[in-house]
Amino acid sequence: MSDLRASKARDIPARVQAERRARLLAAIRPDDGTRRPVARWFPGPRALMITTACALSAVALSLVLLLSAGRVAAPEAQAAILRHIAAALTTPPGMILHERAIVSGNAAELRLYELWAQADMQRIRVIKSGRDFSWDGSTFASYDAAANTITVKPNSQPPARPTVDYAVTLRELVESGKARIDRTTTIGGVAAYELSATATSAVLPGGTTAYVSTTDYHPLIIDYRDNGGATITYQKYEYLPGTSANLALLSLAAQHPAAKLAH
Amino acid sequence: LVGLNAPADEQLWQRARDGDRDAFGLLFDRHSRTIYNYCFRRTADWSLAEDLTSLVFLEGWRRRDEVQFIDGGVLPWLFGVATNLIRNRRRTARRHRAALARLAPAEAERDFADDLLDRLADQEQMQRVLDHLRRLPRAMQDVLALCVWSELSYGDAAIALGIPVGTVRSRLSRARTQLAELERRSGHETDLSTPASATIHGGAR
Repeated sequence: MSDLRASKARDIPARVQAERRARLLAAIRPDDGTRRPVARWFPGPRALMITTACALSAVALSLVLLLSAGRVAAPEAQAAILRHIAAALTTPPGMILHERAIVSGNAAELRLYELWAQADMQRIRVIKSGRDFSWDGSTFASYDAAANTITVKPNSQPPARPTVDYAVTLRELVESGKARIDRTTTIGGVAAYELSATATSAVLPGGTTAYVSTTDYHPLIIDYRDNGGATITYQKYEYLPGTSANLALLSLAAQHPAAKLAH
Repeated sequence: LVGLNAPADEQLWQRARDGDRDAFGLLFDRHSRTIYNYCFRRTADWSLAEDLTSLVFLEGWRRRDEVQFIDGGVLPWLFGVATNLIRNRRRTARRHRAALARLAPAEAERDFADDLLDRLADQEQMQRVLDHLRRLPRAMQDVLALCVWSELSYGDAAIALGIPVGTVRSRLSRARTQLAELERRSGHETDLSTPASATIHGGAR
Protein backbone atom coordinates (compact mmCIF):
# COMPACT_ATOMS: atom_id res chain seq x y z
CA MET A 1 0.00 0.00 0.00
CA SER A 2 1.40 3.45 -0.90
CA ASP A 3 1.40 5.72 2.12
CA LEU A 4 0.13 9.05 0.84
CA ARG A 5 -0.97 10.35 4.19
CA ALA A 6 -0.25 13.97 4.98
CA SER A 7 2.31 14.80 7.61
CA LYS A 8 1.37 15.38 11.20
CA ALA A 9 0.31 18.99 11.86
CA ARG A 10 2.87 21.08 13.69
CA ASP A 11 2.98 24.52 15.24
CA ILE A 12 4.91 27.39 13.78
CA PRO A 13 7.90 27.72 16.13
CA ALA A 14 6.82 30.20 18.81
CA ARG A 15 9.58 32.75 18.29
CA VAL A 16 9.09 32.68 14.54
CA GLN A 17 5.34 33.02 14.92
CA ALA A 18 5.68 36.04 17.19
CA GLU A 19 8.20 37.72 14.92
CA ARG A 20 6.17 37.08 11.80
CA ARG A 21 3.01 38.32 13.46
CA ALA A 22 4.72 41.56 14.45
CA ARG A 23 6.15 42.06 10.99
CA LEU A 24 2.84 41.30 9.33
CA LEU A 25 1.01 43.84 11.45
CA ALA A 26 3.67 46.42 10.69
CA ALA A 27 3.27 45.76 6.97
CA ILE A 28 -0.47 46.23 6.75
CA ARG A 29 -2.24 49.54 6.74
CA PRO A 30 -5.86 49.80 7.86
CA ASP A 31 -8.43 51.14 5.45
CA ASP A 32 -8.40 54.84 5.03
CA GLY A 33 -9.82 55.31 1.59
CA THR A 34 -6.42 55.30 -0.03
CA ARG A 35 -6.70 52.12 -2.00
CA ARG A 36 -8.86 53.25 -4.87
CA PRO A 37 -7.26 55.51 -7.43
CA VAL A 38 -9.55 58.49 -7.64
CA ALA A 39 -11.06 59.35 -10.98
CA ARG A 40 -9.13 56.55 -12.56
CA TRP A 41 -11.79 53.92 -12.32
CA PHE A 42 -14.82 56.00 -11.33
CA PRO A 43 -14.33 59.35 -13.01
CA GLY A 44 -16.81 62.18 -12.72
CA PRO A 45 -18.36 63.66 -15.89
CA ARG A 46 -15.56 66.15 -16.53
CA ALA A 47 -12.87 63.67 -15.72
CA LEU A 48 -14.66 61.14 -17.88
CA MET A 49 -14.49 63.50 -20.87
CA ILE A 50 -10.79 64.09 -20.28
CA THR A 51 -10.16 60.41 -19.76
CA THR A 52 -12.04 59.54 -22.93
CA ALA A 53 -10.16 62.14 -24.93
CA CYS A 54 -6.85 60.86 -23.56
CA ALA A 55 -7.81 57.30 -24.31
CA LEU A 56 -8.75 58.17 -27.88
CA SER A 57 -5.49 60.03 -28.30
CA ALA A 58 -3.65 57.06 -26.89
CA VAL A 59 -5.37 54.72 -29.32
CA ALA A 60 -4.58 56.98 -32.25
CA LEU A 61 -0.97 57.35 -31.20
CA SER A 62 -0.65 53.65 -30.59
CA LEU A 63 -1.93 53.00 -34.11
CA VAL A 64 0.67 55.34 -35.50
CA LEU A 65 3.33 53.49 -33.59
CA LEU A 66 2.09 50.08 -34.54
CA LEU A 67 1.85 51.01 -38.20
CA SER A 68 5.44 52.09 -38.05
CA ALA A 69 6.48 48.60 -36.93
CA GLY A 70 7.05 49.49 -33.29
CA ARG A 71 9.16 52.53 -34.04
CA VAL A 72 8.01 56.11 -33.81
CA ALA A 73 8.65 57.70 -37.14
CA ALA A 74 6.65 60.89 -37.03
CA PRO A 75 8.10 63.72 -34.93
CA GLU A 76 4.55 64.93 -34.33
CA ALA A 77 3.62 61.59 -32.76
CA GLN A 78 6.77 61.68 -30.63
CA ALA A 79 6.00 65.16 -29.40
CA ALA A 80 2.39 64.34 -28.65
CA ILE A 81 3.30 61.27 -26.65
CA LEU A 82 5.93 63.17 -24.69
CA ARG A 83 3.39 65.88 -23.90
CA HIS A 84 0.96 63.25 -22.65
CA ILE A 85 3.63 61.67 -20.48
CA ALA A 86 4.59 65.00 -18.95
CA ALA A 87 0.93 65.76 -18.23
CA ALA A 88 0.29 62.33 -16.74
CA LEU A 89 3.26 62.73 -14.40
CA THR A 90 2.05 66.09 -13.12
CA THR A 91 0.04 65.91 -9.92
CA PRO A 92 -3.32 67.73 -10.28
CA PRO A 93 -3.89 70.53 -7.77
CA GLY A 94 -5.37 69.34 -4.51
CA MET A 95 -4.39 65.73 -5.13
CA ILE A 96 -1.76 63.58 -3.50
CA LEU A 97 0.68 61.63 -5.61
CA HIS A 98 1.18 58.07 -4.47
CA GLU A 99 3.93 55.93 -5.95
CA ARG A 100 4.96 52.47 -4.90
CA ALA A 101 7.81 50.59 -6.54
CA ILE A 102 10.40 47.93 -5.95
CA VAL A 103 13.96 49.09 -6.40
CA SER A 104 16.58 46.55 -7.38
CA GLY A 105 20.17 47.17 -8.20
CA ASN A 106 23.66 45.85 -8.11
CA ALA A 107 23.38 45.66 -4.34
CA ALA A 108 21.09 42.71 -5.14
CA GLU A 109 18.75 43.66 -2.35
CA LEU A 110 15.20 44.52 -3.28
CA ARG A 111 13.86 47.58 -1.55
CA LEU A 112 10.40 48.97 -1.24
CA TYR A 113 10.01 52.53 -2.36
CA GLU A 114 6.86 54.44 -1.58
CA LEU A 115 6.08 58.12 -1.87
CA TRP A 116 3.14 60.31 -0.94
CA ALA A 117 3.45 63.92 -2.03
CA GLN A 118 1.19 66.92 -2.27
CA ALA A 119 0.95 68.53 -5.68
CA ASP A 120 3.28 71.37 -4.76
CA MET A 121 5.61 69.02 -2.84
CA GLN A 122 5.05 71.13 0.26
CA ARG A 123 4.48 67.93 2.20
CA ILE A 124 5.97 64.58 1.38
CA ARG A 125 6.52 61.24 2.99
CA VAL A 126 8.91 58.66 1.58
CA ILE A 127 9.78 55.09 2.40
CA LYS A 128 13.11 54.47 0.76
CA SER A 129 16.21 52.43 1.48
CA GLY A 130 14.53 51.02 4.57
CA ARG A 131 13.81 54.48 6.00
CA ASP A 132 10.49 56.17 6.56
CA PHE A 133 10.78 59.95 6.60
CA SER A 134 8.70 63.04 5.94
CA TRP A 135 9.02 66.75 5.35
CA ASP A 136 6.17 69.19 6.01
CA GLY A 137 7.66 72.49 4.94
CA SER A 138 9.28 73.33 8.24
CA THR A 139 10.36 70.07 9.83
CA PHE A 140 12.03 66.90 8.74
CA ALA A 141 10.95 63.74 10.57
CA SER A 142 12.45 60.28 10.49
CA TYR A 143 10.98 57.11 11.98
CA ASP A 144 13.20 54.52 13.65
CA ALA A 145 11.21 51.28 13.74
CA ALA A 146 13.64 49.52 16.07
CA ALA A 147 13.30 52.23 18.70
CA ASN A 148 9.72 53.07 17.72
CA THR A 149 10.75 56.71 17.76
CA ILE A 150 10.08 59.64 15.45
CA THR A 151 12.89 62.16 15.42
CA VAL A 152 11.84 65.65 14.35
CA LYS A 153 14.29 68.35 13.26
CA PRO A 154 13.53 71.89 12.07
CA ASN A 155 14.32 72.11 8.38
CA SER A 156 12.78 74.50 5.92
CA GLN A 157 14.79 73.24 2.98
CA PRO A 158 12.85 70.72 0.91
CA PRO A 159 14.68 67.53 -0.03
CA ALA A 160 15.99 67.46 -3.57
CA ARG A 161 13.11 66.14 -5.61
CA PRO A 162 15.02 63.55 -7.63
CA THR A 163 16.21 61.98 -4.39
CA VAL A 164 12.68 61.37 -3.18
CA ASP A 165 10.66 61.07 -6.38
CA TYR A 166 11.97 58.75 -9.04
CA ALA A 167 9.19 59.60 -11.46
CA VAL A 168 9.85 63.31 -11.36
CA THR A 169 13.20 62.63 -12.94
CA LEU A 170 11.39 61.04 -15.83
CA ARG A 171 9.07 64.02 -16.20
CA GLU A 172 11.95 66.47 -16.12
CA LEU A 173 13.75 64.46 -18.74
CA VAL A 174 10.68 64.54 -20.96
CA GLU A 175 10.24 68.26 -20.45
CA SER A 176 13.90 68.94 -21.10
CA GLY A 177 13.53 67.81 -24.69
CA LYS A 178 16.23 65.20 -24.23
CA ALA A 179 13.95 62.18 -24.32
CA ARG A 180 12.81 60.20 -27.31
CA ILE A 181 10.36 57.35 -27.78
CA ASP A 182 12.29 54.42 -29.16
CA ARG A 183 9.57 51.87 -29.69
CA THR A 184 6.46 50.23 -28.34
CA THR A 185 6.86 47.07 -26.33
CA THR A 186 5.16 45.08 -23.60
CA ILE A 187 6.06 45.15 -19.92
CA GLY A 188 4.40 42.51 -17.78
CA GLY A 189 1.55 42.22 -20.26
CA VAL A 190 1.05 46.00 -20.43
CA ALA A 191 1.62 47.86 -23.69
CA ALA A 192 4.39 50.37 -23.13
CA TYR A 193 6.45 53.06 -24.76
CA GLU A 194 10.17 52.72 -24.32
CA LEU A 195 11.92 56.03 -23.75
CA SER A 196 15.57 56.89 -23.62
CA ALA A 197 17.63 60.03 -23.22
CA THR A 198 18.99 61.54 -26.40
CA ALA A 199 21.89 62.99 -24.46
CA THR A 200 23.31 62.61 -21.00
CA SER A 201 21.00 64.56 -18.80
CA ALA A 202 21.65 66.32 -15.53
CA VAL A 203 18.53 64.60 -14.28
CA LEU A 204 18.97 61.09 -15.52
CA PRO A 205 22.34 59.46 -16.10
CA GLY A 206 23.18 58.31 -19.59
CA GLY A 207 21.91 54.93 -20.64
CA THR A 208 18.69 55.25 -18.70
CA THR A 209 15.65 53.62 -20.22
CA ALA A 210 12.11 54.15 -19.04
CA TYR A 211 8.85 52.46 -19.87
CA VAL A 212 5.45 54.09 -19.53
CA SER A 213 2.02 52.66 -20.15
CA THR A 214 0.54 53.51 -23.55
CA THR A 215 -2.86 53.76 -21.86
CA ASP A 216 -2.38 56.24 -19.03
CA TYR A 217 1.29 57.19 -19.57
CA HIS A 218 2.18 56.27 -16.01
CA PRO A 219 5.63 54.80 -15.40
CA LEU A 220 6.09 51.04 -15.39
CA ILE A 221 9.86 50.73 -15.13
CA ILE A 222 12.77 53.14 -14.93
CA ASP A 223 16.04 51.38 -15.57
CA TYR A 224 19.24 53.23 -14.71
CA ARG A 225 22.39 51.74 -16.12
CA ASP A 226 24.99 54.17 -14.82
CA ASN A 227 26.08 54.85 -11.27
CA GLY A 228 25.92 51.19 -10.37
CA GLY A 229 22.55 50.68 -11.99
CA ALA A 230 19.10 50.37 -10.50
CA THR A 231 15.72 49.27 -11.73
CA ILE A 232 12.57 50.84 -10.35
CA THR A 233 9.59 48.63 -11.05
CA TYR A 234 6.33 50.41 -10.38
CA GLN A 235 3.48 48.70 -8.62
CA LYS A 236 1.36 51.80 -8.19
CA TYR A 237 1.22 55.28 -9.60
CA GLU A 238 -1.94 57.11 -8.67
CA TYR A 239 -3.42 60.36 -7.48
CA LEU A 240 -5.40 60.40 -4.26
CA PRO A 241 -7.88 63.07 -3.22
CA GLY A 242 -6.77 65.42 -0.47
CA THR A 243 -9.04 63.97 2.19
CA SER A 244 -8.00 64.10 5.81
CA ALA A 245 -7.44 60.35 5.76
CA ASN A 246 -5.14 60.63 2.76
CA LEU A 247 -3.35 63.67 4.17
CA ALA A 248 -2.62 61.55 7.23
CA LEU A 249 -0.51 59.35 4.96
CA LEU A 250 1.94 62.25 4.79
CA SER A 251 2.39 62.30 8.55
CA LEU A 252 4.74 59.96 10.37
CA ALA A 253 2.96 60.69 13.65
CA ALA A 254 -0.36 59.65 12.13
CA GLN A 255 1.13 56.49 10.67
CA HIS A 256 3.02 55.51 13.82
CA PRO A 257 0.72 56.79 16.56
CA ALA A 258 2.39 54.73 19.27
CA ALA A 259 5.87 56.04 18.46
CA LYS A 260 7.78 58.25 20.87
CA LEU A 261 8.71 61.74 19.68
CA ALA A 262 12.27 63.00 19.95
CA HIS A 263 13.57 66.44 19.05
CA LEU B 1 -10.10 26.76 19.21
CA VAL B 2 -12.37 29.75 19.16
CA GLY B 3 -14.34 30.33 22.35
CA LEU B 4 -18.07 30.81 22.28
CA ASN B 5 -17.75 34.46 23.19
CA ALA B 6 -14.85 35.13 20.87
CA PRO B 7 -15.60 37.49 18.00
CA ALA B 8 -16.22 35.87 14.64
CA ASP B 9 -13.60 36.23 11.92
CA GLU B 10 -15.89 38.61 10.07
CA GLN B 11 -16.05 40.94 13.07
CA LEU B 12 -12.29 40.83 13.53
CA TRP B 13 -11.78 41.49 9.83
CA GLN B 14 -14.00 44.57 10.00
CA ARG B 15 -12.25 45.79 13.13
CA ALA B 16 -8.93 45.38 11.33
CA ARG B 17 -10.24 47.38 8.41
CA ASP B 18 -11.32 50.08 10.81
CA GLY B 19 -7.78 50.45 12.05
CA ASP B 20 -7.46 47.80 14.76
CA ARG B 21 -4.26 45.99 13.78
CA ASP B 22 -4.54 43.73 16.81
CA ALA B 23 -7.75 42.33 15.36
CA PHE B 24 -5.80 41.19 12.32
CA GLY B 25 -3.23 39.78 14.70
CA LEU B 26 -5.97 37.72 16.33
CA LEU B 27 -6.96 36.36 12.93
CA PHE B 28 -3.33 35.45 12.33
CA ASP B 29 -3.18 33.71 15.72
CA ARG B 30 -6.38 31.86 14.97
CA HIS B 31 -5.62 30.57 11.48
CA SER B 32 -1.89 30.71 10.85
CA ARG B 33 -1.26 27.18 12.14
CA THR B 34 -3.86 25.70 9.81
CA ILE B 35 -2.56 27.63 6.82
CA TYR B 36 1.02 26.79 7.77
CA ASN B 37 0.33 23.06 7.76
CA TYR B 38 -1.61 23.31 4.51
CA CYS B 39 1.29 25.18 2.90
CA PHE B 40 3.72 22.57 4.16
CA ARG B 41 1.65 19.71 2.80
CA ARG B 42 1.62 21.38 -0.61
CA THR B 43 5.36 22.14 -0.67
CA ALA B 44 7.12 19.68 1.66
CA ASP B 45 9.21 22.55 2.99
CA TRP B 46 8.61 23.92 6.49
CA SER B 47 10.66 27.04 5.89
CA LEU B 48 8.81 27.83 2.68
CA ALA B 49 5.54 27.14 4.49
CA GLU B 50 6.44 29.84 7.02
CA ASP B 51 7.03 32.34 4.23
CA LEU B 52 3.88 31.33 2.43
CA THR B 53 1.84 31.68 5.61
CA SER B 54 3.02 35.25 6.04
CA LEU B 55 2.30 35.95 2.40
CA VAL B 56 -1.20 34.42 2.62
CA PHE B 57 -2.15 36.91 5.31
CA LEU B 58 -0.48 39.82 3.56
CA GLU B 59 -2.09 38.89 0.25
CA GLY B 60 -5.40 38.35 2.04
CA TRP B 61 -5.13 41.86 3.39
CA ARG B 62 -4.25 43.25 -0.02
CA ARG B 63 -7.33 41.56 -1.48
CA ARG B 64 -9.56 42.44 1.47
CA ASP B 65 -12.28 43.84 -0.76
CA GLU B 66 -12.74 40.35 -2.21
CA VAL B 67 -12.94 38.48 1.09
CA GLN B 68 -15.69 35.89 1.52
CA PHE B 69 -16.97 34.64 4.85
CA ILE B 70 -18.70 31.34 5.46
CA ASP B 71 -20.84 31.51 8.58
CA GLY B 72 -18.66 34.39 9.66
CA GLY B 73 -15.45 32.42 9.09
CA VAL B 74 -12.64 33.45 6.75
CA LEU B 75 -10.62 30.24 6.74
CA PRO B 76 -11.98 28.73 3.49
CA TRP B 77 -11.17 31.94 1.66
CA LEU B 78 -7.66 31.98 3.16
CA PHE B 79 -7.20 28.43 1.88
CA GLY B 80 -8.04 29.82 -1.55
CA VAL B 81 -5.46 32.59 -1.21
CA ALA B 82 -2.92 29.99 -0.11
CA THR B 83 -3.74 27.69 -3.02
CA ASN B 84 -3.23 30.51 -5.51
CA LEU B 85 0.04 31.56 -3.91
CA ILE B 86 1.36 28.02 -3.96
CA ARG B 87 0.27 27.53 -7.56
CA ASN B 88 1.82 30.78 -8.75
CA ARG B 89 4.78 31.03 -6.45
CA ARG B 90 7.43 30.71 -9.11
CA ARG B 91 5.82 33.34 -11.29
CA THR B 92 5.37 35.73 -8.39
CA ALA B 93 8.63 34.97 -6.62
CA ARG B 94 10.26 38.20 -7.63
CA ARG B 95 7.30 40.29 -6.49
CA HIS B 96 7.13 38.49 -3.19
CA ARG B 97 10.82 38.70 -2.39
CA ALA B 98 10.41 42.30 -1.32
CA ALA B 99 7.44 41.49 0.85
CA LEU B 100 9.29 38.63 2.47
CA ALA B 101 12.19 40.88 3.24
CA ARG B 102 9.78 42.72 5.50
CA LEU B 103 7.87 39.73 6.81
CA ALA B 104 10.49 37.07 7.44
CA PRO B 105 12.51 37.06 10.65
CA ALA B 106 16.27 37.08 10.56
CA GLU B 107 17.79 33.73 9.71
CA ALA B 108 18.89 33.12 13.29
CA GLU B 109 15.29 33.29 14.44
CA ARG B 110 14.37 30.33 12.28
CA ASP B 111 16.28 27.97 14.51
CA PHE B 112 13.73 25.57 15.93
CA ALA B 113 16.11 22.96 17.22
CA ASP B 114 13.75 21.00 19.45
CA ASP B 115 11.98 19.09 16.72
CA LEU B 116 14.35 19.74 13.87
CA LEU B 117 14.91 16.06 13.12
CA ASP B 118 11.18 15.34 13.14
CA ARG B 119 10.64 18.17 10.74
CA LEU B 120 13.31 16.94 8.40
CA ALA B 121 11.63 13.54 8.43
CA ASP B 122 8.30 15.24 7.67
CA GLN B 123 9.85 16.91 4.67
CA GLU B 124 11.19 13.67 3.26
CA GLN B 125 7.88 11.88 3.76
CA MET B 126 5.84 14.73 2.33
CA GLN B 127 8.12 15.04 -0.68
CA ARG B 128 7.50 11.37 -1.49
CA VAL B 129 3.75 11.95 -1.19
CA LEU B 130 3.84 14.99 -3.43
CA ASP B 131 5.95 13.20 -6.02
CA HIS B 132 3.25 10.55 -6.11
CA LEU B 133 0.37 13.01 -6.30
CA ARG B 134 1.96 14.95 -9.14
CA ARG B 135 0.74 12.24 -11.45
CA LEU B 136 -2.68 13.83 -11.05
CA PRO B 137 -3.78 17.07 -12.71
CA ARG B 138 -3.18 20.15 -10.54
CA ALA B 139 -6.90 20.80 -10.07
CA MET B 140 -7.35 17.34 -8.56
CA GLN B 141 -4.36 17.79 -6.29
CA ASP B 142 -5.94 20.99 -4.96
CA VAL B 143 -9.22 19.26 -4.16
CA LEU B 144 -7.48 16.31 -2.49
CA ALA B 145 -5.28 18.55 -0.38
CA LEU B 146 -8.21 20.64 0.78
CA CYS B 147 -10.88 17.99 1.27
CA VAL B 148 -8.74 15.10 2.50
CA TRP B 149 -5.65 16.52 4.16
CA SER B 150 -7.22 19.74 5.48
CA GLU B 151 -10.65 18.16 5.96
CA LEU B 152 -12.61 20.99 4.39
CA SER B 153 -16.22 20.35 3.48
CA TYR B 154 -17.16 20.36 -0.20
CA GLY B 155 -18.74 23.77 0.32
CA ASP B 156 -15.65 25.26 1.95
CA ALA B 157 -13.39 23.77 -0.71
CA ALA B 158 -15.66 25.28 -3.36
CA ILE B 159 -15.19 28.71 -1.79
CA ALA B 160 -11.44 28.18 -1.54
CA LEU B 161 -11.11 27.20 -5.18
CA GLY B 162 -13.82 29.45 -6.60
CA ILE B 163 -15.61 26.56 -8.27
CA PRO B 164 -19.08 25.01 -7.84
CA VAL B 165 -19.62 22.42 -5.13
CA GLY B 166 -20.51 19.84 -7.78
CA THR B 167 -17.14 20.36 -9.43
CA VAL B 168 -15.36 19.77 -6.12
CA ARG B 169 -17.31 16.55 -5.69
CA SER B 170 -16.60 15.31 -9.20
CA ARG B 171 -12.90 16.24 -9.09
CA LEU B 172 -12.46 14.43 -5.81
CA SER B 173 -14.22 11.39 -7.16
CA ARG B 174 -12.10 11.40 -10.32
CA ALA B 175 -8.94 11.92 -8.29
CA ARG B 176 -9.72 8.86 -6.19
CA THR B 177 -10.53 6.85 -9.28
CA GLN B 178 -7.32 7.87 -11.01
CA LEU B 179 -5.22 7.15 -7.94
CA ALA B 180 -6.84 3.76 -7.57
CA GLU B 181 -6.17 3.05 -11.22
CA LEU B 182 -2.54 4.13 -10.92
CA GLU B 183 -2.14 1.96 -7.86
CA ARG B 184 -3.87 -0.98 -9.49
CA ARG B 185 -1.40 -0.80 -12.36
CA SER B 186 1.50 -0.70 -9.93
CA GLY B 187 -0.01 -3.39 -7.72
CA HIS B 188 -0.46 -1.16 -4.65
CA GLU B 189 -3.26 0.52 -2.74
CA THR B 190 -3.24 4.14 -1.65
CA ASP B 191 -3.75 5.59 1.81
CA LEU B 192 -4.12 9.35 1.53
CA SER B 193 -5.54 9.98 4.95
CA THR B 194 -4.21 12.39 7.52
CA PRO B 195 -2.70 10.76 10.60
CA ALA B 196 -5.67 11.84 12.69
CA SER B 197 -8.46 10.71 10.42
CA ALA B 198 -8.59 7.96 7.82
CA THR B 199 -11.05 9.46 5.39
CA ILE B 200 -9.75 8.84 1.92
CA HIS B 201 -12.33 6.28 1.03
CA GLY B 202 -15.03 8.04 3.00
CA GLY B 203 -16.27 11.37 1.84
CA ALA B 204 -15.81 14.97 2.56
CA ARG B 205 -18.96 16.61 3.75
